[in-house]
Amino acid sequence: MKFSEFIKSKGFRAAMIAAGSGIVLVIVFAAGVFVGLDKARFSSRFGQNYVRNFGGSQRFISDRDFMNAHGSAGQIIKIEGNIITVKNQGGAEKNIIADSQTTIEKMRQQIKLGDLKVDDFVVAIGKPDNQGQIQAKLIRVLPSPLTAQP
Amino acid sequence: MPELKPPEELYRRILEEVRQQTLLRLRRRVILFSSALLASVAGFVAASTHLYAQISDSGFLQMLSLAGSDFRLISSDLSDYLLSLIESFPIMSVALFCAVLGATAFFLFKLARSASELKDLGAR
Repeated sequence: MKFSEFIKSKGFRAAMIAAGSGIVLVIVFAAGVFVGLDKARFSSRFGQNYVRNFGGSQRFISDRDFMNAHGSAGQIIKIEGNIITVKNQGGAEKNIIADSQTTIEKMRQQIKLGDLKVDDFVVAIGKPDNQGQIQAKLIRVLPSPLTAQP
Repeated sequence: MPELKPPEELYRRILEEVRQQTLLRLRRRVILFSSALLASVAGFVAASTHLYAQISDSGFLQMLSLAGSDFRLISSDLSDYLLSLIESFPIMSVALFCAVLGATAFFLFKLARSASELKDLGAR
């Protein structure tokens, strides 16, 4: 069998499809492991620092409640200095830290930390720190999905 | 010894019996696939509702909207943005929705084929 015939054969095509599917599966699996580990690490730090961050007793985070480590979307329930506490629609609270590197946007304007108010609905993107908080790079004020509904 | 001959109606009766058996088999399949389709449509409604609730609760749409409004800022810190998108994506609900959607399409296709065969055979 010639090489050109071999690459056109059904067996070769099936092998290529199987290999491609295998590679996609491995990539998806690896991405899942990476993201899962990141969430687990953040949730563990969040639980360990719960008393320091929110008061009350230490909280154990089960694998079903693993939190997003790189962002948060929800309503502001408290602003203390540069720490913004956001409660998402599932009821989980998370601390977002704003610093000089953080850009805060509302509509087309850039606003200051002092312009943020309790009950504002925000989306924040940033890096997780060792205390189970997010060092925000971007905070955007959005219309609340609860009030936006008719 | 006299030559044995099959009854005159044998061929027609065999064909008629085969037709009756095929009709019976197709009717059973139509009933089976109709029930399965009904169950999968109910599952599809439940999975759609669950997916909608999960997408609303996860904040995925709000995160996604940042790509339109803050593209310049996001592109400077793409890894955190992509990770936040992946983390908030309700993957289990989407997988469940796709599985139920696939099952609904499968049963619909099977039911349509069985019903068409039944119609053709019944018309003969």
